[in-house]
Amino acid sequence: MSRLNYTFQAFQKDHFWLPVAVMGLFMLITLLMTGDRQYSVVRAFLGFTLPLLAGGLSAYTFLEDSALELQFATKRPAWKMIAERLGLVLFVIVFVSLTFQLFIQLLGVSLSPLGNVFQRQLVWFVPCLTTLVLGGAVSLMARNSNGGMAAVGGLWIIQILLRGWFAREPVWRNVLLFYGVMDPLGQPRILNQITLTVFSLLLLVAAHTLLKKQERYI
Amino acid sequence: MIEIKNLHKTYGSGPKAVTALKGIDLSIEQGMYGLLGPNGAGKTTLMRILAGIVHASAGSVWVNGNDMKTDQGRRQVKAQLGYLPQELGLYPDLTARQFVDYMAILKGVDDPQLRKKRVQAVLEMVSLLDVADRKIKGYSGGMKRRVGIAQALVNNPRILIVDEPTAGLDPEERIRFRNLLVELAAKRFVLLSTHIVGDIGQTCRNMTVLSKGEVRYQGNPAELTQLAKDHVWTITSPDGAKPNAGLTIVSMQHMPEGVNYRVVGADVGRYPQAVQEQPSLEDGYVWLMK
Ligand SMILES: Nc1ncnc2c1ncn2[C@@H]1O[C@H](COP(=O)(O)OP(=O)(O)OP(=O)(O)O)[C@@H](O)[C@H]1O
Ligand SMILES: [Mg+2]
Repeated sequence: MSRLNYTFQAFQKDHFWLPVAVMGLFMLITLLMTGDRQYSVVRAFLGFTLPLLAGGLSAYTFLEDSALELQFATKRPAWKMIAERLGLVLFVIVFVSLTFQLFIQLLGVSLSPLGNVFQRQLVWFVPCLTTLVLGGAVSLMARNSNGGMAAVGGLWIIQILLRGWFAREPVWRNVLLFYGVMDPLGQPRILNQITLTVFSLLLLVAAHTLLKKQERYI
Repeated sequence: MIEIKNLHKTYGSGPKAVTALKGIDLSIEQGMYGLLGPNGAGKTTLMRILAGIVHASAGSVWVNGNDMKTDQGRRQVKAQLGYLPQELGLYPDLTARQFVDYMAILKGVDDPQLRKKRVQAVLEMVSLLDVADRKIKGYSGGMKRRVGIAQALVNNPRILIVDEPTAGLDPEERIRFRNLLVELAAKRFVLLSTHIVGDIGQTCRNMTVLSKGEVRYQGNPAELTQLAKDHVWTITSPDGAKPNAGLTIVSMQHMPEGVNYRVVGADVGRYPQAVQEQPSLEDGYVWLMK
């Protein structure tokens, strides 16, 4: 426990405030809206904004570490380092999402269009997982945190702009990050969520292979 | 026992490739071992390979019976390693005590009681106890280096690798740290790299001089000193003119009778006033590198 606490304090404390601030902003906007527009804002936060935040934070979680060479000289295996770093980002994202949902409940906005309690979690969690691993893996591949951010941001913006096209194409819709939130009750969402999860696992394996090559990063 | 055979290391590939080590053979016994060499000689590369961070391109490296080619071997070595990198980065928002504690956790010192004791002990060794609970961002350069030394020692390592550890330390702290290393070396491997010739002469039983990725000298400091025997001179120049003709000036001093030059070289025939001197380790090094 104390190791996560230190990891958090050492270089992720600043990152924590970004999603919290964005959440605050969306809370404010929700308060200013009424009726259906409130639901749209909620959807925009959970389904569209959170994945960007997850990927953005994870892109900076490995290499923006001033004591990386010391970390590498310890016997801790690479998978543990990945679990720690990505786990912390995921924890922050989950915390922000659940806090936001609680706030929405208190406001009386119904999330039932996103499915039952379990289904509506998948709608944001699966795309967040994908961008999270993508940001981390590409930052390692490029040996550059901004590279990871560019990959996440690029994918995000392309998919936002072309989301209509992606959603109509029977093959391409499976890699659309926002398919779940666009068609929360449709059957095809399940294949989409499975595909994104498989992608995440493959990227996780890639990240592990990359992180083991320590000399690339010092 | 550290056994290095025909070790090569090339960074990158193609036209941009840099070969940092070109066939190093070394065997290093327990005790204090010095690595000396000019900038870019390959000292840091060698130390990172021994620390399991950088992989060799060719050749073999065995550390205490562990093959550094394998994941397993590298992990075994890291489990008994204390490492102080040349470019030391810390976490400015942690206090020294937190930082050393964090490193102890990463190194697998799991028992909280034991860890607390070790952290306290190493902070005391580097005389940081009275500022240990202040954030590192408020520390001076030398204090940060001492935090680095403390974290290297916190897991009571069998193998201690320190890359330019005394850079930025004040003279007293440097002497204290040198003595600490010698004490630790009684039961450990201590590998020290430095540009400061004096640090090695006063501490290491054995040493290696690296230059451009190759071993230029291997032996003890006394023998390196003796290489310069009969090649060290003092030349007093009344008008201050610098001696040349293949002589390397190691030091100079302005005196009432002129400028005293201490020079290392093969032949001082052109300077009949030259007085022969006893060589120092630095002279030996200069002679070797000529
Ligand atoms: N990560 C790297 N990528 C490419 N080249 C490198 C890398 N690290 C070192 N080199 C090159 O390898 C050679 C040896 O460098 P190294 O840092 O090992 O020397 P050194 O003896 O520690 O020097 P110094 O005394 O300046 O610390 C140099 O030519 C350097 O440019
Ligand atoms: Mg170096």
